[in-house]
Amino acid sequence: MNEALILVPFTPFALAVLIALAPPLRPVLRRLVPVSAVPAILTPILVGTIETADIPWFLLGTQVGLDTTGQVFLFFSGLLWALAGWYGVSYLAHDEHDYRFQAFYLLAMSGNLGLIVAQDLVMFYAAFGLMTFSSAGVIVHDATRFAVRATTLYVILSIVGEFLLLVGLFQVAMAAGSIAFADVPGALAAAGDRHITIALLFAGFGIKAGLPFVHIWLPLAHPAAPTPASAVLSGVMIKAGLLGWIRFLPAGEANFPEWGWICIALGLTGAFGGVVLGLVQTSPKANLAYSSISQMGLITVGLGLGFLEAAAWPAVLTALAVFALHHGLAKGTLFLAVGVAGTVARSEPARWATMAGVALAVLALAGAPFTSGMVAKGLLKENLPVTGDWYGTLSWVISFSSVATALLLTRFAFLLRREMRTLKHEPAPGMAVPWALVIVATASMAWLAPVMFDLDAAAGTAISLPKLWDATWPLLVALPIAWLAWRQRRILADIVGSIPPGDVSVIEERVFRRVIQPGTYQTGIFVGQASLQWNTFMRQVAAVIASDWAGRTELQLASWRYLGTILLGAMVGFVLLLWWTP
Amino acid sequence: MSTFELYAALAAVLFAVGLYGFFVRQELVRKVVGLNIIGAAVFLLLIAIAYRNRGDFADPVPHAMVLTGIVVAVSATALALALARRIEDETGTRRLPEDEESS
Amino acid sequence: MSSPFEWLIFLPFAGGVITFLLPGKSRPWLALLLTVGTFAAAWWLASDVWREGPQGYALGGWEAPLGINLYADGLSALLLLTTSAVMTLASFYSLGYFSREAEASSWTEARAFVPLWLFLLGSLNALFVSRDLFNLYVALELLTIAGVALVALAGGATALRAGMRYLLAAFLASLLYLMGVALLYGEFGVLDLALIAEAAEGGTRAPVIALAFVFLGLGIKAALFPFHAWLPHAHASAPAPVSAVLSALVVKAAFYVILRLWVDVFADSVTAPAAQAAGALGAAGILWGSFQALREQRLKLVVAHSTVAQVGYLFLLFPLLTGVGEGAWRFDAWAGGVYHMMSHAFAKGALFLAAGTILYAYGNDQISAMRGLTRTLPITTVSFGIAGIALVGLPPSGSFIAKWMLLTATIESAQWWWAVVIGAGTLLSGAYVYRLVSAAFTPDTLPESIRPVPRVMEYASLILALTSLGLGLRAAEPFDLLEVGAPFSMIVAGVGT
Repeated sequence: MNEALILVPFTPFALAVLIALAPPLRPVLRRLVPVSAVPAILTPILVGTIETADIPWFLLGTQVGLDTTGQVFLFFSGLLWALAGWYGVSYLAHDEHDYRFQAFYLLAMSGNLGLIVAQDLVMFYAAFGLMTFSSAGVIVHDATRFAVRATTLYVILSIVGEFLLLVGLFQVAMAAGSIAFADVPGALAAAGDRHITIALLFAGFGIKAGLPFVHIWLPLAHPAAPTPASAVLSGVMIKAGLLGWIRFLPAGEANFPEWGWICIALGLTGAFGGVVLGLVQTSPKANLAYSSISQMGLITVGLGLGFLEAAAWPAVLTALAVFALHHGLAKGTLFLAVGVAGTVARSEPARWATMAGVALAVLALAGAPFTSGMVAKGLLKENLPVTGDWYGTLSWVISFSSVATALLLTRFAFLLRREMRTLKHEPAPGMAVPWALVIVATASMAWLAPVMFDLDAAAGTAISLPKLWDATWPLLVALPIAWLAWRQRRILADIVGSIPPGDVSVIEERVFRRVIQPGTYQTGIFVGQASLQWNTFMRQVAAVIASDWAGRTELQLASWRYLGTILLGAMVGFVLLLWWTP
Repeated sequence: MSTFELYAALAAVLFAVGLYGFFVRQELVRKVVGLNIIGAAVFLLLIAIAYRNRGDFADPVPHAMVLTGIVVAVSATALALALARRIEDETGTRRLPEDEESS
Repeated sequence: MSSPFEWLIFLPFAGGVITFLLPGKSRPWLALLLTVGTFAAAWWLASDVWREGPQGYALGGWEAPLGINLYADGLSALLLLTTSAVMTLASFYSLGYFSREAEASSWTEARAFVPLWLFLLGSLNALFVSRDLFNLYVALELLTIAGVALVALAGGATALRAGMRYLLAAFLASLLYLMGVALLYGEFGVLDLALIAEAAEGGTRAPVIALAFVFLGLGIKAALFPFHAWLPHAHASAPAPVSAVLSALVVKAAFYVILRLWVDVFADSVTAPAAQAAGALGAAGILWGSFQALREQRLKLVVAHSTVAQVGYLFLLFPLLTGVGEGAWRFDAWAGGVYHMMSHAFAKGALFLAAGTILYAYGNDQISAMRGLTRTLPITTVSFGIAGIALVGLPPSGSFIAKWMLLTATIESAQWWWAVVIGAGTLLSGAYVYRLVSAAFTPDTLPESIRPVPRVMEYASLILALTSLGLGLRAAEPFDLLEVGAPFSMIVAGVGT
């Protein structure tokens, strides 16, 4: 029976195939998109953990199962996929290519759910690949110049990431002599060349998780996608990178202080750098994308704690799972709010209701009292190792990140209010109802999940006066700063918009465009264009690709005289090689 | 030198002549003739082997191979000649461009 | 006729003769019927092999050495299935491609197309069940003649020249092979592969020069670098279904013979240095073919150059099989290589059919003209994307599993340099596939007029592409079948599971 778990990712996959192949049924099938995630929501609740089962006929013989971490991930991922899918049915109702979106959406969903139930490396990688490349189809959907540019960057970084992962996973499989998760982290901790492997996996999954410096695709791709897809990209798919870290990296097997500090340094860079870059954005979705980078930074800090102290890993793991759930739902709320904001221009009460929902999610992300954020951040702080005098400092730094988040998202709320002034969509209950459900989940799930999934999260859900104060003061600091910024908005206007979404990528992307863009490197044109560029290296690459020698060599290989010479040489060489037995 | 060795050596010489013609001659018909000379070399060798393997009578298997081989070679030659004619009709030359460039 | 062997050979050859005599209009339908029938026969044979182990059959009741013996193990059965599946779908495609709406010239093409097409199918079938050296020669030569004629069908100087080049190279290759066969017969006095394998066991009678002739001849036919130059234009200028089948199957047929001889017959005669050299040429082919694919401006030429690269992967097998001692990885490498043959057959078939559809609709296949493809030909774009995934070897395609097994074998046999080549080849293929896919997604002004495309063309390529993906999702049965009568110790595929 446990094998039936494979149906969880298979259901959306089958629906995607149906949508692609049966145009007459599309009007019915598109309504089933949210339903196909229902098994993913119900399985962790009704069945609980599931023993690992072999599925010999799938891929190279694969394993599926559901452990506690998997339960939490499957639940919140399924929930957001379902609700965003429901939302998407209305959002794209007037889009003539909506079925294309639905098919890619379902394939990405299938990959995401598949990697959560995977219990072996090949299936995880396969599902991860399916998710990654299907979501390219979702991001490019609007087919604007911006979307194409974002997708290009996304695909390039994804291919790089997949490649790093392939090499890393390969080394892991070799070290473990097995592809089962049960054997992987232990074997990696003991392997001789573990640091290279860890680096490959950390960076490979880091691209998905929005690690600083490889994050550049994220502030372009998340906003470029249609809103329901942005929600799952930022809310759920980004967490697949985290799950990859959890599944493969040897945190908890032994202490790896060097990796712990790398994670904490990169995590804090992301946590604060994301806020700084996000504050100057002018589009609400770009603002949210940077906020995701910032929140994933905190998660990276958590991973670092696990690397530092192996003994703390089980508790850190719980904290990471709850944090992922909290951030997934809250970020989903905010992204979906962008679409809802386009429907409320005519109704004052609707505007206020929308703002209230947004406020709740903003407070949650800022870790305000009684929100999911307080639970998640509480759990994270609770697991700071008590040894070492940097403990107090790090605790403060995490609290300060709440200040930063509160500022960033206040700015989001102002940007959103601007969106509310114009009507982009007729009011649609099909968008409002699922959005309301995501809000309800955001408010409640961090409290319910520990009970539902039997997590040891007492440290997070317990309420005490010092904790409430700890959750409150960052808001009290942030409020006056936000007010001041609002007052001085004319002065700040110069800074705002000074850094385009994608920050450093804007430079890098020029380079990419020259290499990859189709049709531009017809010999003459390409060299011509490249010579105008400042980048000599790219000019050289261009020259090599377009140069004549390769064509000439191919022509020579085609000439019969050359072929005769080569053939005689090969004949003699091959005879000698067959004779030579070393 | 036994009879077999004599024929085998002759086959080797023919093979080399055919190869030379095939690679160096540029006209398509000559190339095809070169290939047929190579074929003749192979058939000669097979007949020599049949002679060497004789008991009461010559080994029949190489004979069967040569007969089939000739049929196959004739069909391929016919196709090649037909193509060469069509190429001449279309382009006005019985050579392939890569050979013309290298000459 | 009580044996699937008879149907496999008889149906297509008889069909080839009969369709010559029939009026033109009924020909494509009969061809379709016969390819479907051949698929059924292949399925029948595969299920016999699956249940009862390798199957043998003496044609007309004459046993070897005088009669012709046919034989099929798991490898043959899989390749027969692949062949008839790809050709069936390509036959469906050709119904639309040569349809009445098409202009007059292509209608005359279609009349000659069908008999040649069936001869091609028959000679592929004959090749995969042949069990003696000379039969293999005849099958290879029939394959060449049918293939060349099909390439030249397109007419025009380019196609004629390409066909001529193909014919000359393949004719020469056949004669080299035949020279090798003559020398081998002189050495062993038999032609049956099993009997030769017995005599050559232990490697004490290693007929070095004969082997060099045989392998070089076959290497030319398999388009091994640097003997590949005939391939790109031949495959690119043929009509679309022909391009698909040439790249997907015909090139693989020559490789199949190499694999059979290298592994099943002369395993003790081949040496490690020769294996390394074969691997090196394969590696050079991967890099050179991919690089050329990156340079091309025409879609079909990109796809054709990529065949040169993909064939290179197959030659990486030999250094993993020979001269590296015994170990489970030898089966992994062998099975991975065969799986790559299959998966690539479906993916490349799908790519060429899709490219043909684009050429059909747009009137040219310049990559720069492919813009806006997602809107004009969405199904073709999807099959293009899926086949591209399989070509690069991304999960969950069959090529991914194949590459995974090859990589496992390189690492386990301590030959990491081949892993580097596989990685580099993957990146390069990712680059050229991305170039095509991104061109399709570029939103731009659409071409003014697009010729309407029959639906059957789009769906044929989609099904082929999905099959190449399905091979990755469901690999257990093909591998079980492959194990029937397979060489090397039967340690089941996979990374130590």
